[in-house]
Amino acid sequence: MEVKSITIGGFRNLERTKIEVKAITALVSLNNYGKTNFLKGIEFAVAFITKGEFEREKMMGLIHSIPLNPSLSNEPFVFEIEFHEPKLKEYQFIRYGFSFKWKRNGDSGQRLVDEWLDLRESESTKYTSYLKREELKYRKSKSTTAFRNIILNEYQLALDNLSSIDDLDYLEVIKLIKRFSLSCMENSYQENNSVNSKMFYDLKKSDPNKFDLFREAILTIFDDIVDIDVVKTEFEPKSYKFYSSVVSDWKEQSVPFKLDNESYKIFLINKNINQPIEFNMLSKGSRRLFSILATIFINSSANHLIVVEELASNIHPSLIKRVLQIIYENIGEGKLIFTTYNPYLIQYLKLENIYIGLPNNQGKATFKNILKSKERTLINSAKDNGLSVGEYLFDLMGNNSKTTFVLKSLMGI
Amino acid sequence: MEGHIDSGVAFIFEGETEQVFYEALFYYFNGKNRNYLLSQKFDEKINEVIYYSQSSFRNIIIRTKTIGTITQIANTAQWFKNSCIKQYENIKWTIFLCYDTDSYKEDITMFYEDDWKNLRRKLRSPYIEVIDLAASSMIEDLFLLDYAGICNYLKIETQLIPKAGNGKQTLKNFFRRNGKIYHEGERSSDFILSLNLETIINKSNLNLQSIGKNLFP
Repeated sequence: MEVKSITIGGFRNLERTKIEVKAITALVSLNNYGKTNFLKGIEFAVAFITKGEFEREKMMGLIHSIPLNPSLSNEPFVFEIEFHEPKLKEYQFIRYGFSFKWKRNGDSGQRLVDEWLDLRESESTKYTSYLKREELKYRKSKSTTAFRNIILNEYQLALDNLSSIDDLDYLEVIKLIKRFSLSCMENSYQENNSVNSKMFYDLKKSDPNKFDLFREAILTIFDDIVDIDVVKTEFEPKSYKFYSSVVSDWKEQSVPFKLDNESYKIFLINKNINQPIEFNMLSKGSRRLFSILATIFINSSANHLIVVEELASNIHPSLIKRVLQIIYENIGEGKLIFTTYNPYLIQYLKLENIYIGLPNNQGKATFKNILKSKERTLINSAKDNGLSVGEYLFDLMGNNSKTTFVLKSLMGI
Repeated sequence: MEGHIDSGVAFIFEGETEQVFYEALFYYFNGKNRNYLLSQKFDEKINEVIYYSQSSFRNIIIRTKTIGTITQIANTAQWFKNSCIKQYENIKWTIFLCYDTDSYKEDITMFYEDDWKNLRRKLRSPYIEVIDLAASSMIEDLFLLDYAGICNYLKIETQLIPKAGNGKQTLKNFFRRNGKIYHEGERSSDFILSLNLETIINKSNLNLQSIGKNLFP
């Protein structure tokens, strides 16, 4: 199973923007353009799918998500995702999406306005519609052209109902969409960037080969780290005696739900330090890189998208190629979308993997590739200027009317 | 370096691992011709470490450039003009371009098709000979020519190395299977120095002997 594309629109300052998702996809632009908004838009959409109706109604009025740009303020939120799962045979190419109107003044207006599910057997054929929300109809299987009725309220996704229809021929498609998950890594080192030691321990136990690959990745990137391990520690039995002494009627056996008394710790051996150190003793930058890699390794075989804000922050340029190679080799069926301000990182990616913030004066954000037909022009111009392609692209993004003109022509605008 | 320089040899490497390997070859070929002394000195004016190959009859300067994250192939010709030709006027130069012709096809790469062809075009001059040490294979494919040396380094019985994708993947996989990690760049130096370079030179399709002929004529 792989994600093929993601479309987000009507979110903060985002125009409808479609990204063809590669194993590694980069978003680049000037500051305050809308890169993070695209990542947040995906996070928002995935949360919307998993929430109940009550929470969805509230999400339709979230002030940090509603578009405030004058030219986008009436745009509905749009999310669309395309998958490919060969095991689903005649339904193997999947396009699912939904759209809702944001809350207006007077606590009104918010409601789901559209939802669609299109399937096809091959990329050379057209998608066939299996869900028409506007008509409140769905199709049971490929073998019938008849549509059945479906009852939905204004905050209810058809996805919720279809998953409970037993004779639906493409039930696996619905399950697959609902299983789609996301990991988000913020820019700064925060709690959600820390390594979940328990997950890491589980990886070691359930998939020792993958754990070894992770160990190899860390030892390849960090010259001074010579080994890494995760261990489980448990409460010592004498602690139970301590409880018994303070809580007079406490008995281990009498507790109907015993809390997990285990903790997990990641240890590293640094060749320049005289004893093993805990993960938390690494520098901030190293911890973040470690966390990003751990997330990728832990989620590489799942129906999973990883989004990382500023992948290259805190990474020395000399490590960038190594890091990208390791990610590429180990991401498996997962996909990574990241933002960056680093031209040295961009220079290692194919141009089709780079989405550039489209220059405009209206504060709206949308991202596009360099046109295939213009790639050679861009590469030659970079060389003529004595620059890498990454450096040259960032030079063109420099908010100067002449370079903007050049960039627009390369993007076909 | 004080004194007269008779000729210059420049090496432009695709990456750090190539640099380590080819520098090991410098010493290998020097071992075959003891009439020359190979030395390294830091040149404060140029701000680089420079090799010299000296005999009673001849002084050869050896300059190296490795393309990395910051150093670009796009400005390598400029480096050669400013840092080699201008610094040592009126000497004959031979330039070795050490690269994999297919590296632009890799998934993570800073190279594009024709990069090396364009570099060669920029370097072209009547007094400069450009030699391509290039094939459609990775530097690791050269290492794999000495499979016995690799097994010896891993402290295992000599055996053929099963192919697992490209040269780098094959080597990584074989190291992994035998409980070690294959490192690239400077960290590969222990491994590279343990290889039998003569075996590699004899088995390789590249004209590696031309290095010895130019550095220690």
